[in-house]
Parts: sequence; structure tokens; C-alpha cells
Amino acid sequence: MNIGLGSVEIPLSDIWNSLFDSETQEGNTAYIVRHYRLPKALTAILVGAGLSLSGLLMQTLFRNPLAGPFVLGISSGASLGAAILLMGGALLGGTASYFLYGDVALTVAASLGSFLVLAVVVYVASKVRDTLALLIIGLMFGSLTAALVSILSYFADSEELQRFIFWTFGSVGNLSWPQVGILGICVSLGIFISIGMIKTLNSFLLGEQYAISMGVSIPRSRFWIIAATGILAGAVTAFAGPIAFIGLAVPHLCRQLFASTDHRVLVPAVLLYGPILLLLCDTVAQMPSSAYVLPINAITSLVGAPIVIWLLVRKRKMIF
Amino acid sequence: MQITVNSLRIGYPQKKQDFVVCEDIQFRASAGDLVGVIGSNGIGKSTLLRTMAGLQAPLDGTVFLDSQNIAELSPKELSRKVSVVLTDPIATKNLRVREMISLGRQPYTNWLGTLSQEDVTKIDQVISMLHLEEIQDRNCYELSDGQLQRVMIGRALTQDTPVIILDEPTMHLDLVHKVQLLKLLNSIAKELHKLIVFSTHEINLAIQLCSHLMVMNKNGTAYGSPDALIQKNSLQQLFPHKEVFFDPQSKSFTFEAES
Repeated sequence: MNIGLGSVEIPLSDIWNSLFDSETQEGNTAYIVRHYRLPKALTAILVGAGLSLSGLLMQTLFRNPLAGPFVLGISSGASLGAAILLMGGALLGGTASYFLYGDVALTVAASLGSFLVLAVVVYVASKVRDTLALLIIGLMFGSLTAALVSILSYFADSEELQRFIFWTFGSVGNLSWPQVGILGICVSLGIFISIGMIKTLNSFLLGEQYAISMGVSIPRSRFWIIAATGILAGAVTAFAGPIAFIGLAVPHLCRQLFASTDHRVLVPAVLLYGPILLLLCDTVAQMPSSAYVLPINAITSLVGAPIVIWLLVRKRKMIF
Repeated sequence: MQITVNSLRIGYPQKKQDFVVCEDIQFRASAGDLVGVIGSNGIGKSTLLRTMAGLQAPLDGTVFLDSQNIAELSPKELSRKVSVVLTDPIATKNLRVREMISLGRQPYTNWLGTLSQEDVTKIDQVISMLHLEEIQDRNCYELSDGQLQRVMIGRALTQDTPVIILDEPTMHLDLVHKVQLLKLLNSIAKELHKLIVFSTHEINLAIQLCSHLMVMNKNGTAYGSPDALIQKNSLQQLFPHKEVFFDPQSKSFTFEAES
């Protein structure tokens, strides 16, 4: 359905035909479906899954219901990378930066930024023993990069600023097939690591001390959880921009819906509901049958926030 | 199973000079013993228990389980020998009692934590032994402090370790539940032949129910059966203040009413 709705409406039967019927695999409809709509839907699925899962990992690791995929400073790192590329033209010295304009350069800059910040946080994580301190350090890195971004925006001209703001809106479109492939590999890798961590995550439910007493090696499992989050959230942010909210909300949504904190239930649950919610948001963002595309970042919050509030109010008690 | 604590120095490593909480701790306890660790606030009871459980490294000295130094055991090996009940509030109380108790089987389950038939049998045994059948499907946040404490002891029991270490299990409980809990620990130690070490402020109860006491005060530590410690005058030195004193006749601490 998500594939069908867009500036040009395509009936479901036509989608089916253009995907699987070789006779209709030529022509405009088929082209739109196969090179634009399908990669977009796949991206939305991957982004939804990746963000929700990394949010769940962070909420369990930090035992904090407010943690999300970006508490480790990943999105702020990515936005710093993007900001330097888009608005730091003057700093880079005029002509050189003109070569770099373009979506691929933007992806590269964002991933460099996020992995740089993540590398620093992982390094600090190995030094700090307290997990709560790690959370605060992640947030501090966030403020630090946000400050740098504001300084850059202050000196940027309006056109550069607009490009940057558009990037922060997030987008699941405009990805080519190879890019979707790379994103798919990264997200699969993150999911794979997380599945291996399910048992450890369950023991984290009782706190670190109990986890140790049940045979969990804290430094090692912390490393893998952070690595999985970095891969998931880093890849997603690089390709789709800083899409907020999904990572924070979907784990809560699933805890309420399934009334469970067992990660054997929650990991598959977030992998199912994250993509569904994001596909839904993306469909709304397309504003079916119109030429406008709303920023996905606004839609995720507009659609998601009321759902979470409604669930919490209805149940009156937060399950965490 | 025997636990041997050898010239142990406990505390927290610091850059300039280690912060030593207590040193020269020496004792040996065997399966079937119920050891109560007593001493005033801040004397290092929790630190001692955490060190014995391998949750923190000793500054010096060693803790042996039979002939094995616990520092040389992997977390996984240690988790099959020592289980704990801590004072820290558990991170999430949104677990059903049965789920909580099942978590104790983690050292034995496969990579996904799937319970085998043997695990389920073990869990059922513990639930019936602690009389938790009626609350086994309730959420932990619905429980009273006494019930939750029993559940946490149940979790430690399903971990099926020869040694169980509890940090102030009687905290927040009223007198009836305190007595019930200590009697429960006593029967677990005797009937299941486990070595139980716990800290408590319920000195009078500990004197009556424990097989051994570890007395910690500023001048050092003393270890032995309650009667032996009374004869050695060790209990009299527990509190340096005059307000509370030990009465050997009634085998309990008492205070003088204001005249």
C-alpha cells in the first residue's frame, strides 16, 4: 500500500504486475515502482527496524525509559558531519567544497561524523565503569556537537542553512539500490548481534550487579550492545537523516502491547512494529495523490506521540 | 563446599592511596552453615559480601571456594557457585514472579535462555518450597517487601549454587517477617546443605538463629559460633557507645531505660 500511494497513484494490481509480470516490466508505472517506490518502502522498513531495535538496546542497557538510539551522540555526530559539509564551505576553503555537494557526499559526511563521535564514546565507555556516567557523557557530546552546529549555522548563508535543515527533516526516499543494499547489510548485522545478546539483555533487567552474578561479563556485553546500536543507528542516520522518535517510542509501544519485558518477545516485536509504524508515517508524509512530501521527522512524532500517550493513559501504569 | 577467606583487605582502589574499609579478615565456613555478618553502619558488611561474591575485587588477600581462588574463576563458572540477593533495587519490577525466578537458571540455559524440562522442574520445586504458588503469576511491582524478598531468594535458589550471599535480607521487614525469613534461611542451609552468608542489623535474632557470626568493628573482626563469641567478649565490643550494651545472661543487646 505504501508503494501505491504517492504523487502518482498506482493501483495494487499494477504494482503486482510491475514487480512480478515480465510483460509489464517496461513503461512508466513499472519504472516508478521498481526504481523509486520499492527502494523507498524497503528503506522505511530497514530504518524502522534499525531505529526501534537500537532504542530497545539503549533503554535496557541504561535502564532508562528516556534513552533512545541517539543517546550515544550518534545523531549529533551525523548532524555535525552534515553541517560541516553543507555550511562549512567557508571553513573548507571555497572551491574544494563545491565538489563535495551531493547526496553521496552527504551520506559519507554524516556517517563519518556519527562514527567519529561513536568511536570517542566507545573509547570513553571502556574507561568509565558507571553506565549512568556513560549516558551523561553521550548527552554531553550531543550538546557539544549541537553547539558547533549552531555556530556553523550562524555563519552560514540562507541557502546552505536550508539544505542543512532539509537534511535534519530526514527522508527515506532518494536511496539507490546499492545504498539500500548497504543499509540492509548494516541493519542485518545489527539485528544479528542483538539476537545473540537477548539472554544478556534479560539479565540486565535486574541491574548490573545481578547480571554479573549470573555470569555476564559487563565490559564485553556493554561493548557488543553499543556496537550493535552504533551500526544500526549510525547506518540509518547516514542514509536517512536523524529520524527521531521511532527509536524511543516503538520499544515502549511494544512493552505496552505485549505486557512483557522479556527480550525474546521484545526483539521480534520491535522489528515488526518499527517498520509498520515508519511505513505508516511515510505514507502520511507522502500526502497521497499530491506532489508535496512532508518531512518524515515531523510525521513520526505527529503520528507516534499520540499513540504512545494514548497507550500510557489507557493503561495508567507504565511498563518498563 | 567450603569458603575460606584469607587475610582479606577490602575497600576501593583509589589513585593515591586505596580506601581501605576493613583488613585482615580471616575465616572459614562450610556447607550447612548460616553465617550472619554483623556490625554497625558503614563498617564494611556490604563490601565484604560483595567481595566474597566476586562483584568487586579485594585490595589484598584471597577468597577461596574449596581450593579455587574466586578471582581466577570466569564469571560463568562463578555464577554456578555463588548466587546473591542484593540491597540494590532491581532495575525493573515489571517481571512476573515466575519470570524473575526463572532468570536464576541463566547460567545453565542455552544462548537464547530457553528453559529445559530440568530447569522447569527446578523452578517448580523452588516455587513450592517457598510457597510462592499463589503469587507466581503476579508482577513483582505488586508484591509487598516481604514477598519480593522471598522471590529474590527464590531466584538465588534456582541458580542452584552451593553458596548464597544475601545483603541485608531483613531490611524493610517487620518483626514477624524478619523471623520467618531468618528461619527460612536457616532451614535452607540445613536441609539443602548450602552455605549461606548474610549481613543484618538484627543482632538479637542472628544470635539465636545463626550457626556462626562474623562480628565487624573498628578494631578488627571476630568469627565463631554465637556462644563462643559471647565467651570471648567479642559481642560486647560491637558498639563503642555506652547507649547499647550486650547482656550475656539474656544473650541479647539491651539499653538502660532513662531514669
